[in-house]
Amino acid sequence: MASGWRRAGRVVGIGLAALGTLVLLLYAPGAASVRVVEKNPGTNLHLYLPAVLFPLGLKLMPDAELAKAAREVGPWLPAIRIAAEELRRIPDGPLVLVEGPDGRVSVEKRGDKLVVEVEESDESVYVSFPLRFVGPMIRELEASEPPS
Amino acid sequence: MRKVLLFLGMVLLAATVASAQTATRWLHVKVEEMGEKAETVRVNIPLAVAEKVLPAISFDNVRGGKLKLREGKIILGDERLDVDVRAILEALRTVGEAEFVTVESADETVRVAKQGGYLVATVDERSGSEDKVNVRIPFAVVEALLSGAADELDLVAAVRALGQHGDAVLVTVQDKKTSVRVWVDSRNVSE
Repeated sequence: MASGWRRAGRVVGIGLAALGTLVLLLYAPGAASVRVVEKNPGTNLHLYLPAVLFPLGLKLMPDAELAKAAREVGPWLPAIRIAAEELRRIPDGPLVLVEGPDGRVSVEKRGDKLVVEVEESDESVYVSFPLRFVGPMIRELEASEPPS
Repeated sequence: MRKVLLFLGMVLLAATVASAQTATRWLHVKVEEMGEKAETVRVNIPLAVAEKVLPAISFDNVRGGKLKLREGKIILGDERLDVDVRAILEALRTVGEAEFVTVESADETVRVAKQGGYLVATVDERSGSEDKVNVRIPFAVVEALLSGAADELDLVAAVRALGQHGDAVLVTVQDKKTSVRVWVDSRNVSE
């Protein structure tokens, strides 16, 4: 009986260690954060996703959908990829700031991340994404673009 | 001895930080609207990023970091500058300081001059609008723009030349509803 518990404990321990390693492997390269807060009582959403999953997610998208997305932004893909690579090398700072009576939108480079914040009267949205994962995602889109 | 090493370390750190800061030059664009629903837009672009990204842009008449001119004119989508830009710039190479080259078209009068190492241009629209456009571009940037083939403007060379120039206000546009300012400096934030 005692050996049965020991075995179960060992299995749980190995499982937790494997899970911990998996989480570490997934999150160590960087995470994307999405936060949506509705100011009038409503949805409060906060996602903290491993960025490494995004290029993998694109691989899992239906080919037709991916090709459509690639066609729409196709001409800009190389420029976006190079911009993301170059932005990693520059000091932190605001890149775009739009302020008006209806709210505020900012795009900022913070560390290794591109941070987009939208502040409106009824909700606020915060998205941060590691710049180093933009390149692999763009390459995935470029690969799916049908030859013109 | 420890104090001397600490001092030298601080000097080295300060020099590194200073050189890192001066290495990055920024192009700033600020658009301010007037009125009740007025918006302000600020864009800050590191010139180093622009220099690398421009060759990758393939849009309309922009290819490989160069803007293809159509009969000397700049045409981007629905927007067109109805004067022979290249001819004006080439003419400025030969005129003396502060001498104006005036170009009149159906919609506007463009006056361009060379003043103290800068190309200075004003655009007056005929349509009765109160638009005032002032352009002040270092002549080294103009030379870089013209460094390509006869029917194009080399944007990448111009950005590179701009990066080597000091702080400068390049463009101001003012009308009843909007003001636009484009300038270059070493700060990563707009004013």
